[in-house]
Amino acid sequence: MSTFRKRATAGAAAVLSLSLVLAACSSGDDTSATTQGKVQLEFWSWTDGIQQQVAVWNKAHPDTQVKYVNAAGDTVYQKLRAAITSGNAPCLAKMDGMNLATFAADGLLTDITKIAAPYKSRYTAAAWNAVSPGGATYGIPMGSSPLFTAYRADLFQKYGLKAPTTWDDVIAAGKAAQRKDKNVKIYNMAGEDPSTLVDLSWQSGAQWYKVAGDHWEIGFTSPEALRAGDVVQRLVDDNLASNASYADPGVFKTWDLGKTIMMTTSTWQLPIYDTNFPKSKGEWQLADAPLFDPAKPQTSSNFDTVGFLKGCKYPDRAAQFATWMSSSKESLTALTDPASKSGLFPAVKDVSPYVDKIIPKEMFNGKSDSAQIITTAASRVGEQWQYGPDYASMYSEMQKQWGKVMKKQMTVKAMLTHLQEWVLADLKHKGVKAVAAGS
Amino acid sequence: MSSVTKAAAAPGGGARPTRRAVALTTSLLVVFLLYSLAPTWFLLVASTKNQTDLYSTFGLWFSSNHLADNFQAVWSYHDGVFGRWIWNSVLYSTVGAAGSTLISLAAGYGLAKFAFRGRGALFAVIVGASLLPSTLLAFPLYLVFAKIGLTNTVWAVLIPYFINPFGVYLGKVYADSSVPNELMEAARIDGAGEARIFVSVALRLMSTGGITIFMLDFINIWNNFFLPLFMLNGERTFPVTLGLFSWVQQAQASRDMNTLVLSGSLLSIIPLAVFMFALQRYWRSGILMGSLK
Repeated sequence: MSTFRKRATAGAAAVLSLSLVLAACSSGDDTSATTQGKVQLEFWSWTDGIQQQVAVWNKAHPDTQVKYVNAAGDTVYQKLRAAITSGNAPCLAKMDGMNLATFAADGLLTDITKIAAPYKSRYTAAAWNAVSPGGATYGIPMGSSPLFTAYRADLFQKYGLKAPTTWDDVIAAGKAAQRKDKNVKIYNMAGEDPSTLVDLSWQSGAQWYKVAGDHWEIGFTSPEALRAGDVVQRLVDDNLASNASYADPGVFKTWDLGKTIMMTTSTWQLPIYDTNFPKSKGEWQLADAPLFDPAKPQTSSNFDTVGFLKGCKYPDRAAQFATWMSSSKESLTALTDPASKSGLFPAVKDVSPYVDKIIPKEMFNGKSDSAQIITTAASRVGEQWQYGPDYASMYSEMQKQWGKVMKKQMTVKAMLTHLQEWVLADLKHKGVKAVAAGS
Repeated sequence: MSSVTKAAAAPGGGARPTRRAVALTTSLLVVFLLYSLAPTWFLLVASTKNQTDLYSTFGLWFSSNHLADNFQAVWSYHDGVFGRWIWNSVLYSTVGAAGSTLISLAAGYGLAKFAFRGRGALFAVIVGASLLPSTLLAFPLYLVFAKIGLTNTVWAVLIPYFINPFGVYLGKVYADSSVPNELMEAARIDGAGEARIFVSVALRLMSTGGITIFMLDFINIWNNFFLPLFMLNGERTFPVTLGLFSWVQQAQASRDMNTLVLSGSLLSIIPLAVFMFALQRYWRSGILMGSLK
């Protein structure tokens, strides 16, 4: 759904990139000296409930006062670039993994590898990857959203289906359902949102970007990447997926009315299910996300991070605050309470204390252990996934072609082949050393 | 819309319009009316629904009424930040438009009534500047204001609002047409200074034009989005446009805020509607005046 907002703000971005001159130097100012005395630092975020936690922190830590600024959503990335250019950026800002990698590559972040090292063990390896694009660490994980499956148990029963374990099962179930009712779809893929392919590739063990010593290896056409693409291709070819757009606020109807009977979903969506599924709540059941290889089960996740911006004067204090916020029991207990409206799910190793409260009361039929499924998903997020230095621009390139794939004007394989060449050319143009994986 | 006016104007010139032309014009106007009113109607209907009904019932007709709950939710969100946004919008629009009107009238009067070297060139630059989209200037303005340390203050939006090349252009047109040179001569002969002539004579004569400039500016500033988006951080300084935008963005994330966005949008129309109706008379005469120049 972030893709929708991306397009809405594309105008802003275009104007900005016209006038922005990026400082392309690497930010190697690794300040590991400890800061003395009272400091104040600024933190931009747009997650509900964080402000209250900042107040809790400020009360207990008079020496490190955090000034919270509620920034207006995704345009914040353009604003941050402008603020860094003019030298009045905050010390910390909420960022997604994709933008953290791009900011790091553009030299807009502070390298905190040494400062952050003691905190590394608190978070999952996949979360730490998201704040360490290319090896050096530029942020602290904030939250995760591991992927799992939700399906209409009543309709699965009606069509004689079992909950799918693998993606092959999903396709078989989709075909079986259509033999009973030709209008039913097993899955949904929006024309504007290629995140489905990202998730599948992540689950399949693919590495679109991989750091190897001093260069990147680009693998859009590796066997793992192609088998992920193949699942999408089969869903498209056999008309097994609906194409409801996530830009439509009424998108939930697609599932609520039983037109599409399965979805992959995540923790941040759980709180809104009871209100948005008035007709079908109580009929849904959770299951583990479909797998490629049952012997090596893995799922995917988006990560929210706290990025350390260029010019942050007290990264050590900032790291103390950021890790307290996203890993201390005190803060996480408050933030994962649905009353906080944060939608945040922790990126720490043991999420079990925070799962029960986020499960909606009426949505599920109680026949599967929802808490167990969420915990499992959090523990099996693929650790190989890395965000490359031009991930954000690659993503918009992919977005253009994804629409054609959905309309059957192009194959997934052709798109991946194109992206492979596009990324290699783009990185070369940016002066980043990159080779095709396996070459 | 131009086709509508053309269709209406064509049979003019004294003859009675044919029945067919009347039917055609009327039906085009009715279509245009529906086109204009449908979004407002949707907004009105949608504001009465709760989250569940919003998606599960027919969009253009009412279901159970939750208008009061929705308004309550809008007003209480984040300690009443919505009220603050409305107040900010009123403040930015009123002060910004007043400042801009005064500057425009003064500059326009100067350009119209005083001959000085480079007047033509200056006027050309001002007309040219009015063609520059303000969106394009937002980032350079941001850098300038960051340099002098004024970003994230009320001045960062007010000062750019004060300067409006199109307003200066209108000011010149109004000064040309409504301030007779003879009157200025008479005032000079009576011993009035130039400042006095401007304040006591010219400003009064240009008041209708001034109100038009004020209204145009007021509405522009009320609807402006890009400048505050750049300049202001932190939701308590936002005007209502930016505030609603921040809600739309959150609607896609942690919780569904679409009912808040819709009810908030409905509420945000009210001040502007009141303003428009109150000044309708000037609005009409102002537009007519502009069209004849």
